[in-house]
Amino acid sequence: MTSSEVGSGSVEEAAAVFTAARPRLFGIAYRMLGSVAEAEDLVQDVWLRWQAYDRATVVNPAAFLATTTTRLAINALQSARARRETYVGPWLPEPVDTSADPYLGAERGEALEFAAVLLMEKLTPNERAAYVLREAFDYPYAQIADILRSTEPAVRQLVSRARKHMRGERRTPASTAAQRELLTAFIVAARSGDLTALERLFTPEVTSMSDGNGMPRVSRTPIVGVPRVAGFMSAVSGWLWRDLDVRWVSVNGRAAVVLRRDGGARPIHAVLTVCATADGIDRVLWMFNPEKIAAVSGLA
Amino acid sequence: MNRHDDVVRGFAEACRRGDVAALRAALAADAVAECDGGGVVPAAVDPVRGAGDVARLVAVLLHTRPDTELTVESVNGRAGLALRRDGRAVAVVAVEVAGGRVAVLWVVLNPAKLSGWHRR
Repeated sequence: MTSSEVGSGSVEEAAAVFTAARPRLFGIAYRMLGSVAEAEDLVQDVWLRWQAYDRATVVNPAAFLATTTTRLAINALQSARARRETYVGPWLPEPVDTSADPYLGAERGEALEFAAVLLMEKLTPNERAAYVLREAFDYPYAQIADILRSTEPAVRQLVSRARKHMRGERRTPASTAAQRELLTAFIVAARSGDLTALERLFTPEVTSMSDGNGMPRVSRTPIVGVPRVAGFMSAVSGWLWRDLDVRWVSVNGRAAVVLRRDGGARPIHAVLTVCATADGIDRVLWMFNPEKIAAVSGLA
Repeated sequence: MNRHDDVVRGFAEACRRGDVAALRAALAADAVAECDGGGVVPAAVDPVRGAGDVARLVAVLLHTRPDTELTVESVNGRAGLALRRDGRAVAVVAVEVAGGRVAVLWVVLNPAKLSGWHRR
């Protein structure tokens, strides 16, 4: 092998590099276009370009391939959107079978859910690219800036705008009836200390907060995350609910329960409520502060 | 999330039985169904809203006969539904769950988008 052949690399080498990068390139293209067929065509186009390219000049092949894929996807998205304007009826993404494609489903599931792919249709192509690279593939801002021929502060802006948009649209609070149902399910699970049932009720970022104004036996810092909140509720189930009387009330238009000791004989011990979104309970709120719950006593 | 899976499994069971009342009960009151037929197969052109209308739509669209099979599968990373006739996918449905009920159904019927879903 001559030195020039080593420099430019053989076709086998080029193929090996491309094959290793392929799942990620497809992941980027699919999230950008919402179409398996278009993503496959695009990745094929990247392969042809990679074969024809002077690869000796490429320092980081994986970065080069991701850059090429992203830029082509931005162009493809623009023309795809023009075509979709004449689509008959609602346009939905092409669903992907995530059990058949473990890379897509398991390694980084972000920005893959149907609702997310649909919502990303409302982002500008650059916002969408920045969001996908950051959320789904965890690229550093500096690298995203290179890919988008932009600056790091501008990319941070793009990602933050995209996140805000995605959050704003998705975080629809649960209806009052759903919230009441979730609170009921929470109390049942918390009372029995059923860890699995508790875990199922929570969103990943669930937080339990207690307002006790420094009262003894009241946690002063929030408990965050499914394992910790579920674990805590399960651990205290043995004593927390003993002799507690649970009575339903409506606080600020939301379902809550008033908890009293000794089957309701003593003054209010606490008021408990939950905040929920479409995905489940994301806040468990305990109000122990007597001053703040005094007003509720009239209701219970 | 497991809760999501449970709701989708229950919904699929109601579909298999063609039980409109059970479908209705499994749907949020303000449930929405969006169908993508791509202008190729008959589908609702506007989103269908409300548990009653969505239940009736689903009973027709996802109705299982002896030659069709409705299964719960991983659609874009979450439990969804696939309806196949003789191994050919005729519908793939992505589902959003809210408060223990089905809130949104995205029903993909466009054959051009189902090629990856055929079996056998």
